[in-house]
Amino acid sequence: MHEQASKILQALTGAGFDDARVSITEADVNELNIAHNHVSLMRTTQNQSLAVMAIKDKRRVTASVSSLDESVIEKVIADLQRDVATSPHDEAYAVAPGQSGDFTKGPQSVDRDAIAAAAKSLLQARSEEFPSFQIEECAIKHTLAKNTLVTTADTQLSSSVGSYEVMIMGSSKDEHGSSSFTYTGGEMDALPERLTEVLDIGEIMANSVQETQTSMIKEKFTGDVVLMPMAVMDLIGWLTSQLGDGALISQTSVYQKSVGDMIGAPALTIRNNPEGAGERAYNGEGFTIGPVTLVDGGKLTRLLPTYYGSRKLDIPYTASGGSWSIDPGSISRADMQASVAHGALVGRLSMGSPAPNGDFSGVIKNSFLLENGERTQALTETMITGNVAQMLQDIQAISAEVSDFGGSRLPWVKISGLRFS
Amino acid sequence: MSFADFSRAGEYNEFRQHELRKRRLVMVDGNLMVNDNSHAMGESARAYQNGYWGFASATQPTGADKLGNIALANAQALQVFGGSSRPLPQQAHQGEHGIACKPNWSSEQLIEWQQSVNDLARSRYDKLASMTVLALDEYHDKFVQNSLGARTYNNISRAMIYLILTVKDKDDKPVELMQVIGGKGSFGDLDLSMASVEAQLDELYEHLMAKREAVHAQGGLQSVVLAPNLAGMLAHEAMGHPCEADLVLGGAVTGDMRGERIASDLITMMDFAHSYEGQELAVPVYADDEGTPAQDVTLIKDGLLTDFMHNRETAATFDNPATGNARAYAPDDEPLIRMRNTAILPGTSKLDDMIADVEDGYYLMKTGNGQADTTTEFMFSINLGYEIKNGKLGRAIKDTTLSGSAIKMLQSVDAVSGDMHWDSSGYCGKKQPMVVSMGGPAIRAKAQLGGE
Repeated sequence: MHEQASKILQALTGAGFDDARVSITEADVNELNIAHNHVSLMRTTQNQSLAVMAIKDKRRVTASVSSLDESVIEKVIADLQRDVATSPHDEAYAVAPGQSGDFTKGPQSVDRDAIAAAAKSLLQARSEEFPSFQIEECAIKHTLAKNTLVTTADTQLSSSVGSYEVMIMGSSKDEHGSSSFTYTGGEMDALPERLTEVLDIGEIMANSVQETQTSMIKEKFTGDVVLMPMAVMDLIGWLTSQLGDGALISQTSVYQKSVGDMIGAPALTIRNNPEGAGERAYNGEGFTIGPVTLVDGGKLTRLLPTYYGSRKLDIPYTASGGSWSIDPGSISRADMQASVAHGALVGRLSMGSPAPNGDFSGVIKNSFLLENGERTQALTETMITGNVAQMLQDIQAISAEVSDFGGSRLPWVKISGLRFS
Repeated sequence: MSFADFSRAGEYNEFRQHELRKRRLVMVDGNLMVNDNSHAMGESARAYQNGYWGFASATQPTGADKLGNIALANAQALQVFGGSSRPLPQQAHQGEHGIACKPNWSSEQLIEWQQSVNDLARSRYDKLASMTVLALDEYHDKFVQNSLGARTYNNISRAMIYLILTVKDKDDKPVELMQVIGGKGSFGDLDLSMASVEAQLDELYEHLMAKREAVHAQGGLQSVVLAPNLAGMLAHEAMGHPCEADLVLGGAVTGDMRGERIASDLITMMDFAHSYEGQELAVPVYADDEGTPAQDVTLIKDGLLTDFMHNRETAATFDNPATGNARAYAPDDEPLIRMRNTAILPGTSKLDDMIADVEDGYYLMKTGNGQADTTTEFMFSINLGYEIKNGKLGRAIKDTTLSGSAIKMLQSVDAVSGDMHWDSSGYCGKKQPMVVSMGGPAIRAKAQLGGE
């Protein structure tokens, strides 16, 4: 692969490009699917892809194809030559300079017996412990992704990353009715004996079977939420979107000039997790990823533009990867829940993207009313309204317990001041 | 690509050759941030044996025989779980169905057009903080053959422009609105004349100026009039997903409700295979990726829940005909039950009258995304809406979310307009993304609105 990538790089410079990046990936996937509480399908896929970025006279163009045939590559280069001439001139275009490394991580071959055993244990746990939970869909898979990335600026990277991934979605149905669907998923280096003990799978099943009987809140109120880890992902997703190219270049980010400011509660520290299962040691731009603390005790330490964005805006660049973790706090989940006078334990937020200013309203799903520290009935047709930027400031507590989803490691988070309706 | 040699494997098997081409050009304030072409080709085979499926795909040309055998071996490997076979429906379609597109625009033409639109907006709107012009197109060519004799070619072609205007409100916070121009075919099939774009941007900017001063909606159960382009989202999210037979088997509440009244008798809802009133729709599916001839499915008829959407396997489970809803997005995806062109059918009311009859409520005009649930509790975001006070439109409202039980909401519908608006601008997400279209008239009902 490395030889082929170097050859394509040479062909690009030979075709008149000043700079270029070539990335070749080969991915083998073995995946077992469960549908409606039964094993349904085994799939094996073999994918090859070539992704190219090329720059000429400070004009940039990118392309990707699923074939490495010589004739296909010749056509890609010809198309790039045609398209680059029409791209606007921009001094900020550049390729990653001077990065190198050869990284191997995770299981390098699939254990199909382990996949079958994991499926068996999951189905057994469902039927014995949570018989009213219906697995609508579950995928247990192993991916081995081999990549080579080279640039004309002396970057030479290669990796072979293997990982197992589990995704499960389902709902409960009994004589009372159906619950909302619930889901979880993540990556790991090895499949455990009991799948219900990872990725909060056992917990979401246990909660779901209690959600077939639901109530609406009696009246509007302002109260607290305790977000479960999957709901916490939504907060981080909005924050990182505000720190990226789209918001920064259009000057619409609420954090445009906030580096060094307290954008969250002092309890909040957010870091990347390059050691997490399935995480590659370098990003798609061709920069190796080191440890990054994005929010340190509530203080924003950096923005997250791409390499292009950083040059365009003349701000520092950080290669961080895409998965983020929140440092655990000191309070237990049980104590956190017991401290809520009026609010809800929220498993999932069903909502559109928050507005650019952070305003949002969303339906809370897989959620329970909290009254005087007690978890009472499951909720239906209940919305919360607030502002995501304000929510980060209004974090009251972070749990000591953390759920590991592979790349992301997330705790339970208590936030005050949400409007319930 | 063309039809390949096909050989049988297992009780049933199919072979698909699939080409997916996409282009994406993103311009933010005149800066071309993305100028990308992608081209994926692949072959896949799926085999059914003794109640289990095996699937295999490769981007390298591998052939139906080899991939079919790998798929069969995968199905056979699952026999350790026990299982028994159920005969699959036997319908098989033969035919070739392409979309006649006008000549497409080159990337050069598109970039020049994006720049012109950016310049136009900059020169016309003094409070404009940012302008994004996004151009996307995608083309799917699929050749499907199966052991029942199906031999089909289907093409899906779609081009889309997203125009996003951002201004700052009095607190210097960003406020944005988006207009989508898109549909079946290529960019050559869209009206991208500057006169048309100018008119659409003027209207969008006018709404944006109103949204700068927007107030929070009153949270809770409200009277709402959904503009025609929102009814399609309601159809898709609220009752479309719970009528997919795989979700029904997964525990959706609709499973026990066939034949029951779940909506006002003003509501009839369909998933159209390829055409509506003689016109080919944005996502024409003549045969699905299992080679099943695609047929329209009536989901709700005059308020009664009628049928579900099926693939071959769920059709066998329910003892219903397969409906042609099994579709795969990418070359290495297996077919899943997906909607095609889902719509609530028009009624007889007039939109102006529907608003005039509301004493205190909201007129909801634009949405972003939505989500369905097994309980039929749905949500979709509202990015543009106005208060209705004593039958007249009032102040704009801030971004909010519409939600509720679809059954309760559809039962509360008391007016359906005679309009019919079709839209195919986003993706449906369900393990894989999928190109779908949705349509509907204006609808008046009661639903939960997020707010103060």
